[in-house]
Formats: sequence, structure tokens, C-alpha cells
Amino acid sequence: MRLRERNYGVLSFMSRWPTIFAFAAVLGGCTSQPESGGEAASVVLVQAVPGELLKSAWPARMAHDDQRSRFESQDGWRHMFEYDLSQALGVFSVEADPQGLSRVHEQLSALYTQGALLAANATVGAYGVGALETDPDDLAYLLGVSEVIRGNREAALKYFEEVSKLPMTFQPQAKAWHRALSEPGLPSLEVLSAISGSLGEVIPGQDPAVSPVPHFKLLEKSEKARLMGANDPTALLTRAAWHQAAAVQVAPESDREALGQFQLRYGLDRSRSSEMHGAVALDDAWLFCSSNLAASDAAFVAEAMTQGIAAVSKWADKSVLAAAVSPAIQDGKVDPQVVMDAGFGLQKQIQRVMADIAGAEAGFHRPFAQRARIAVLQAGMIVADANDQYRDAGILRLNALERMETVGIEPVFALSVAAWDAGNRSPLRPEEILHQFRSTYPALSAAKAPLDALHLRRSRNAGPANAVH
Amino acid sequence: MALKNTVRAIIGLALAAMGTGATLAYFEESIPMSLNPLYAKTMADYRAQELIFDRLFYVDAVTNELRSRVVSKYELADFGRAMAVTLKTGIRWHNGQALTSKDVCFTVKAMLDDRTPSPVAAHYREFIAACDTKGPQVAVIRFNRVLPNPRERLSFTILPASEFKSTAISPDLQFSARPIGTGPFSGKRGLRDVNFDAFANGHHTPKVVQMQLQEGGDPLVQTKTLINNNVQGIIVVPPPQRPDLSASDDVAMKAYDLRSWWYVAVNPNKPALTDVRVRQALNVVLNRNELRKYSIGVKPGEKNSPCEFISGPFISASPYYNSEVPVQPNSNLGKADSLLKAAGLAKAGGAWQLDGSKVTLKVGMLASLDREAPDLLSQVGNQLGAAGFDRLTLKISADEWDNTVMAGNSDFDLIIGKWSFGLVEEVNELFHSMGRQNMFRFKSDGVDKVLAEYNDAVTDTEQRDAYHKLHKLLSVELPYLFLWKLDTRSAWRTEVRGNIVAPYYYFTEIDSWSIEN
Amino acid sequence: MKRWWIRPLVRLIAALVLPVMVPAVITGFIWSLPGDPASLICPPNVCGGTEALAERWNLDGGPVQFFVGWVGDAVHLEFGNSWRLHQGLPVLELLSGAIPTTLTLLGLATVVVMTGALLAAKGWIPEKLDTVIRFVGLVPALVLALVGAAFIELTYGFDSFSGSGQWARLAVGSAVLGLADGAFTGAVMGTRATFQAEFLQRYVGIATLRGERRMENTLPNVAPALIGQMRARIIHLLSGAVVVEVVLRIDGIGDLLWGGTLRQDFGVVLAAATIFGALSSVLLIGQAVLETMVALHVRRAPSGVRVGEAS
Repeated sequence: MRLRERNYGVLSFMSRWPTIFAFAAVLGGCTSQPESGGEAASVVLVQAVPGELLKSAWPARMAHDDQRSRFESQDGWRHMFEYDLSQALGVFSVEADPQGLSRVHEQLSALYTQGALLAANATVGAYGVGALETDPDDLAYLLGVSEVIRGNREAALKYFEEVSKLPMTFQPQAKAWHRALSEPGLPSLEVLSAISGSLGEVIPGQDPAVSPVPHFKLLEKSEKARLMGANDPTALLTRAAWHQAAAVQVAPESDREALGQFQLRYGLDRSRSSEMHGAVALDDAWLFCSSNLAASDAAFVAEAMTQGIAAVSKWADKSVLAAAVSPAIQDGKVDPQVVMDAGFGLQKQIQRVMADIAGAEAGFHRPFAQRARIAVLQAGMIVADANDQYRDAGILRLNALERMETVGIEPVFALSVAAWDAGNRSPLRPEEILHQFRSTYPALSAAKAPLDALHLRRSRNAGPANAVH
Repeated sequence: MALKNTVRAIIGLALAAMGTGATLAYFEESIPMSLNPLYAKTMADYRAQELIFDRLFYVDAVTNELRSRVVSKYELADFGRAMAVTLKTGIRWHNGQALTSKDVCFTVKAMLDDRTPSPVAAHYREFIAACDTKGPQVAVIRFNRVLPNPRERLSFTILPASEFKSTAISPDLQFSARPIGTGPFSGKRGLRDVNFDAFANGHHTPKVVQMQLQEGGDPLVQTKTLINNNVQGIIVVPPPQRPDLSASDDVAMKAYDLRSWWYVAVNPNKPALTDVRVRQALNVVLNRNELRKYSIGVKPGEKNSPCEFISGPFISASPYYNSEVPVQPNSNLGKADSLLKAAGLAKAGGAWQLDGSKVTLKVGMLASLDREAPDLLSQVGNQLGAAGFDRLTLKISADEWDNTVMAGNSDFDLIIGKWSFGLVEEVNELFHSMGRQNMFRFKSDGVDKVLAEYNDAVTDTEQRDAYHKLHKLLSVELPYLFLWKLDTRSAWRTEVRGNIVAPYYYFTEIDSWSIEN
Repeated sequence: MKRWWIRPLVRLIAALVLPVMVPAVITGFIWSLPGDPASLICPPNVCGGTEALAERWNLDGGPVQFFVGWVGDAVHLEFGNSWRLHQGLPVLELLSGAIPTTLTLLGLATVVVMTGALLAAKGWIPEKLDTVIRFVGLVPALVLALVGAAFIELTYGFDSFSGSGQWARLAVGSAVLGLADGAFTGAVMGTRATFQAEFLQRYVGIATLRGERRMENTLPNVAPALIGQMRARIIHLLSGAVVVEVVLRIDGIGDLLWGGTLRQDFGVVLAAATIFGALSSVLLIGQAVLETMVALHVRRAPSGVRVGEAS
């Protein structure tokens, strides 16, 4: 049995001799078909979310020329659309768009937070789980910082105590961290700066200079006593805190609460996620091209991070993402395949709505709608994670990353995938992701050394393999 | 018992057919050369074998967790010099017999048997010493030294003892075409395709009833066939076809984690190419930007390109890559001229000559690569021609590649190829003077010394430093002219659900795949 | 001609020798290549030690031992497994799939050619079409086969090797084989020329005056020539079949022979070449039998004919 109707090959049988002689011309012509050429009759369209709710989603609203023109006319938003935070930062600082600028800083803060998590996971994977007798004792400090970032404060304290017992390089930093851990949550920018070095005054629109890597060279306890390059993940946390401060500083007073909600998605401090969140009125500047399709989605995501499927039922009639994910909740579990279907359904639904609003299909409809599809996958992933469905969340995470290849890879999300992979002691994909973004965001290079070490250690213990053609 | 198995298999298949049953047809890079895991040589071999066999331990494609479908319990023994694995009960071979510890030990013994001329087995001989059975379910695999995390190394495929007369397994046994495994599918190689039929088993519940593999032809035809739903997947989609497929809502592009880099191997034993300056000249004759533009379709400076230049035998993201060695994106014919003249070549009538005879370069390329990088061979030929070299370009079949080129018996001057790696990116076999995959018997004392350093490295820093040194050395000695790394992407119809693509082995998670009716 | 039997006898002897001579020549060729045969099949650095393989493949005792062993096994239809082309598949299985395919291809192509010959003999093909027919005959089989292959691939896609796709390959292949390289043209022109030359003979004119049919009178006399022509054409089709099978990817003997030679899969080459030799032998025997029958027929005193007395 085969799938649906079988169309034999590219041409129908026997009546196409002349076409063979025009082979190249025919196929060449096909390649320049308008986008979304695959809008096939076979696509099953489902109404993923109620129509009224859908109209609150930013892709649907951007079908209106007047609402979209604001973003089309500014280079900063073009860079945001392309997920180029570095360029957007420069342009927004000149264009004096406080919301845009605040959003870029918030994104950069999330990026470096995930960079820190990547470094932390790789450090633990390489020097903790995969520790060798030849490892320098000083690594205990880096392991301690990594455990803080990973949320294992007790393990971190043990490492810091270990550092304090030995005459090692990192005693002052370890003590500072030890002190900082007496308070809940992550340390402030001031404390972090004291540990890893100050990045200077917080000035919105700027990106502090990056100190060269490796931050330290540690002596291996081997016969050859090689110097091992090592970096302190605290530096990335400090940078994240710096950008967070810049985001808060430049954001209009009325948007501060919303900013707090956004920061939860990629933040390390989950304590606030368990709070109840209310939908906040938001300007489109906070939503355009983001994974929050509507204002209520930010609140839903913030709650879903700790409450999982309970948040879905609570928000299903208010949040586009919750409504899209809700059919995937079956028997108390998130079904990843249904989430994927819901994402695709929402994409098609949004495309139809956009076409209705604009009067016809336009080239930008599909890429906008595809972002909505990705947003659903990410929301499903968050719910699955909170519901202890680690593998299912992973499936959705990887699927979202794959779908991004068509519309552009969002660096923050990609870094979060890299961090998750590194947490699984899988170095290959994180290496590729880090390599892709390292030249644009050089501070991320701090994560490379532990990731390299993780790869090398895994590779040394892996099964035999040949180069294959 | 046989009847019981048959009934079980039929019920399993019927359930699968009722649920999602359908044939999953896909285009591969090539027809597998062998379905015997001991003789896997191409990625197509590895992928097909993953459907038919179980590996003792494997890595979960999503969570990277080390798991086993056949082992219920494992424990270290003999102070870390052995591992006892207890097999799950109820696992059947495709011939109906039960999987036992005898099969595990048979596989180990076959790999250790010198009369089994398998390059795959050769690697296992380096650390496995023996295998003993302790009852029908327990096998004790012994190592020649204490291994840290031995499970990670035991990723070999289990073979059925009942299908072989002795532990000497030769590549031409019928098993290579009609293998018996414990995997989710039984496989049968035809002349032009391979058919896989679902096999219900205790540890596998495939939802796809049948799979069909065929060698993909012209990439354009493959693309159109996929869009027209005449096939459900393409394993390797060349970059020029990706935009067409991405534009279709009926097709989903899938990332396939495979570390692949492309090169032009230079035969240093040819009189004209013995002098390192000639190889260096060839390196600057190549305009990689142009090659990439015309064969892969990537323009210079394009963002997020799937194709990135390299200057050594690793991809740029690898820890082994030495970023201090610059890439050579454009040609420098002036430099090439002076290097060639310094090497004793003379230009007469626009053509380079050595000792009064015209230098003719015989350039070959693995034929299947022409689909991934169309016209690369002729583009390289053209650039050499424009630089004043007479040249002859030829495509090399996969078989000739394995048995002539890799045997070091080819008379090519230059060979264009691609190497793919997984987690392990070791290149010792490619460049060591005694390396099994050293296609032109390149010999350099300096390189051999650095590779020895790599082998003797105690820490990963030492190991990485050795390969950084190797990278630098190779960029001078140039047994290969390094071209680029190229991402691998697959495309599957959206009706194919749950299709998690595992790094390297691809079909590890095939049980989760299904087809929407 | 009194010794009419010499020619059929020579053909018969050639037919008997051919199936043995072909593998003998190939065996000699294998041993004439530099390096030992086992290493050619699987180089030591790829396979490790090849001694075990040489022993298994009977390559360790020299060409005579190998040849005798191979013939002995072949008599029992034991050809072993493919070493490289379709690694592991029994050669007998490959042959039993390939022989009917090649025979079907040749049969269909022969129908095309025979139809041309028949129509030409009957004079049903007008001479004004000769230019077109000659033009078609100029197209090389390779070119026509490539066009046919493109058609098949585009039309059938993934299904081009199963069911209807396979039959389409055979149909296109036989059309290519029957038309290209002057096969059809030769049949039309050759048959017509043979008959036209014979029609000029006096006895044909007399027979016509007697009210007899020209064909009935001429056919026995032109039959040896036509049989010879037809055998040559079938041999021509047989060699053309290799090109057509390779280009159109038809799984016949020609494709096996080509693939086996390219990949130095001597087991497959020996068997496929021997089958080709055997097919030629069958044609030689057929020609010898037909020649003998015609010779006997023309020497047989016709019944009901009496020599009249001179008036």
C-alpha cells in the first residue's frame, strides 16, 4: 500500500517525448516556482486555535500593512527579523527605539545565559563525569561555578569548599561564590563583576569588550605537564547580567513587568516561574518575530515552565500557544507528534487568515506563519520538560531547531539546544552551533574549551570508527 | 516453535499494517555494497545495516544516553578487564532462532579470527581479547587492558552463529546479500534495490511494514519524485535542491549529523608531484570560491552556508581543527607559477613541462559525489587547465574506489573525495605511511611522528595538540588539498511521522517512524 | 556444390567449442593480469590476509586447477556467489534472472527486425521511405538508449525497476535495439536487395509467366543468404544488447557481463560470458540446421514433376 494517489514520476506516461528533449528547460522552470509551491491538495487543514484568538497573534496582525509598516521601515527590525542581534543592537542605539533596544539587550542576556549553561554543562560533562587523574585540581572551581549555573547549589558549595582547602589559583573567586550562594537566586551584576572582572558601566546600545580566551592556563598532572586552557563561565553570567541591566534601564517603565516575563524563558532562576502570571498589555515591538505570538503567551510560557500541563488548561482560552498545544495533552502527557501537527495546523491557519486580511497570498506570509509553527513546538517542549517528559521535550526541541533552518536560526534558542545537548554529554551539535555564532558573539568562545574537552574525552572512549566515504 | 514465531510475526505485521502500514521508499546515495556489518565500507552500508541488526550498545539519538536493546544487565568483571552482559530473553533472529550468548561470543570470535578479512573487525582486535559464554544469556567479553567505560566501545553488531560454518567470515557469503539479524527489519538485497520487511520481535515494534531502498539518480529527478509523492525520502539532498524542497509544505528537511569534509588527494609518487612545491602550487591554483559557487551553489560571503572552507583534515567546529592555519579561498596563479618554476617545471606554449614532457594530470572523483557536488570534477579540471596543466578527468565507481584506489593501486594524480566521521574524527589511517586508508601511500616521517604523539597522548590536551600540529604539517606537505566541509541534509515527506534521524547510523530510532494513512 | 555439408559442420564444431573456449580465454586473461588473482579481487590492505580467500575461491592452485574446478562446478550449475558486483548473491540466481530478461529483450528486438525484413520482402515498405529508414539507422544505440533511459527515469521515478517500469525498460530497450545502429534499416534494405537481385534471375521470370508466385520460387534459393543475414543481425543485436542493458539498466546478461568486468568479479564474468558464448552456439547450431534443411530441400526431387520428352 502506498501513500495516497501515486503520480508516476514527473511526467505522465508515454505522451511526453518532446518533453524529454526539453528536460533541462522543464526542470529549470520548476525550480523558479513561487514559494510555497508545495501547497498541495494533500495538506489536511485543521483549525488549530479559535479564529478570534488567532487574530491576536502577531503574524496575523502583521498581515495589515499599517501594522507591519512600522517594522518594515526600520533597519533594526530587519536585523531582528534575521535574528542578527549584533547588528540590531548597533542600529537600535542609533535609531533611538527604546523598546527595540531593550528587546535586543534582553535577547543578548538570554544568549549569554544559555552560553553560560552550555559552558557549565560541558564542564561538568568533561571534568566532572569524565574526570581524569591528570586533571588540574583547580578545575574544582570551574566545576563549582558550573554546578551553580546548573542549579545544583549543594554540589557547588562542596566544590568551593574543596577549592578553599587547597592553595590554588581560584580561592578569592571561590570564596566570593560561596558568599553569594548564601542568598537565593543568582548573584547581582556587581557580585559577578567582582568575580570575573568588571565589564564597565551599563550603557544601553553598547556591547562590552570581550576578554581574550583562554581565561586561565592550568597545569595538567601528567608527565608532559601541558597547559590546559580553561575559562570561567562566570564571565558569561556577568555579561548576561550586564545586558539584562541594560534592557531594564532602557525599557519604558510600563514594559518592565513584561520584560520580567520574557526573561524567564531562557533564565536560570526558575523560582519566579512558579509564581502566577498575568497577561500584560504589550506593544508589538515585544512580540514581532518572537516566540510569543500574543501578549498572553509570555505569561503562559512563564507558568508552563514549572506547572506544565496545568498551565495549558488554564491558558487554553487566552493564549494562542496554549490553545495550540492543548490537543496534544493526552492522558496527562504531551504527545510530541500531536504538537508537531498542531504547529503545522497553526501555520496553515495563519497563512489563510493572513491571505484573508491582505486579500491575497504574499511572499512574507509563509515565513511569518512558519515562525508561529516553531513557537508551538517550543511551547510544547516547555510543557513536556515541566511534565518530566525529557525525551519528548528533546524531540520537540530538535524539531524546532530543524524547522528554523528554513526561516533563520534564532541564536538564543540554538544556544539553548546546544546547552541541552552538552548536558547530555553530546558535543557534536553544540560544537556546530557554537561555531556558527562565535564569530558574531565572540564572548561565547568561553564555552569552547570545555566543549572541546567533552568531545575529546567522549571520543577517546568511543567505539572504533573508520573514515567512511 | 517455528509456527509460534510465524504466527507472532504475522500478527505483529498485521497490527502494524492496520495501524500505519505502508511502504516507505527512499533514495540512498548508492546501493549498499554489503549488508554484512563486518564489511561496511560506505555510509549507505552502515545505514542499511542499522535496519537489520542490533548493536550491543547504542546511543539514543535524542538524549545521547548509552542504551541497549538486547542487553538487560551488564557488569564489569575481572577488575575492569572484562564485562559480563546478560541478554534479554525472547529476542529472535529473523530465521526464528533465539538470540543467545553464543551469538555474542561467535561475533567476537569472528572479529578476532585472522581469516575474517574485515577492516571493521580490525579495530576491535585492538582491545577485545576473548569472549566466554556463561549459560545461554550471559556472555563475558574480555579486554586486553582495563578500559574506562567499556560499554561505550562495545557498539559492534551481533551476528547469528547459526548462519555461519566457522568464525572465518568472508565477504562473498550469501549473508552479505541475505543477512539474518535481530533488527526491526529483515533485509534482502536485489540487483537494483534493497527491500526491508518489518519483523516483529520482543525488543522491536516497527510501525512501518516495508521499506525500499533505491540508488538515487539525478538529484533533480529525485527532488521532483519526492515532491510528487512517488518516493517518501531522500537521504542526502545536495545543497542546490534544498530551496525547492524547503518551499514545499509536503516535505520536511531533516538535519543529519555527519561530519564530512571534501578534499583533493595528491599522488606524491608521481614524478611531477613528488616535489612539495608542486603540491603547494596546486593548492593555490584551485579557486575554491569558484568551485563552491559552480558546484555547490554557494556564493562567496553567503551567510550560514552549508559549505565552509577548511585548511586541514577536520571541520572547523572540531576541537582538532587548527584555526591558525588559514584557508585558501581564491587562486594565486602568480604564486603557483613561481612555486612550479622553483620545483623545476617549465612552461612551454602555455603548458607546464617536466624534463621536456608535458605534465598531464589524471584527475578522478568518486562517481556518487557528482550528485552532491555536480560538475566539481570538470570544474577542477578546468582550473588546472587554465593554470597550464594538461588533464584527464574520470569518474571512479564505488567498487573501483574500494578495491583500487583504497588499495593504493590507482594511477591517478589527483583524486577528489569526501570523508565522513561521527564522534571519532581520527585521521591516522589516512595519513600514516602504513595507514589502511592512505590511498597514495603518502609517507612523511614528520607526519608519522606526530601521529605517534597522538597515539601516545595521555591527556586530551596532548591529543588535541598533536592533531593541531598534524593540521599545520599537512597544510605544508599537502598530501591532500583540503576543500570544504559540507552539511548533510535529508528530506522526508511529512506523512512520515516520528522520523528521528540518528547521527551517523541514521535509522537507530526506526521503531518510532510511521506513515500517516 | 557437392560438399554442402562442410559449412554446417564447421558451424556445429564452432558451436561446441565456444562455451568451453570463452571461460578458458577469460581464465588465461585473469592470470595474465599483474598480481595474484585473490589480491585483485580483494587487495590485502583492504581485506587483511587474502590467503583464506584465495583458497576459498580456488585461486591458489594456478589457472588450470581453477579452470577445471570452475568447469566441473559449472556442469553441476554451481557458479558460487558474486564476489563483488552483487556481493553474496548466488551467480546462478543472477543468471536465472538475467537469461530470460536478455532473451525477452532479444526476442522483442528480433520481432522488430523480422517485421522489417518481412515487410520488405513483401514489398510493403515503399522505397520513398528509404531516406527516413536510413536516417533512423544512423542513430547509434548509445544515443537512443540514453534518450530512452531519460524517458524511463522521468516517467517512472522510484517504480522504474518494478513491474510496469521493468516492462517499459524492456519495450524501450527492444525498440532501441531493433532500430538503432542500422538494425531495422539493414533488415529492410538487405532483404529487399536480396529478393530484388533474385527476381532478376531468368527462372523467376519464367515462373511468373507460368503464373506461379515469385516468392515461392525464390525463397528456397535466397533462404541460405537470408538465414546468414539474420544470424548476423541477431549476433549484432546480442552485442548491442550489452550497451542497451547497461544504459537502460536492464538486468540482463549484458549488464552482468559489463558490471562484472568493471568490478573484476570474475565469477560473474566467467558465467555471463559463457552464457553469451552458449547463445552464440545456439544461433550457430540453428543456422547449421536451417542450412542443412534448405540444402536437403533443394536437392530433393520435387514431386509431381516429370521431365518431358523433347518434341
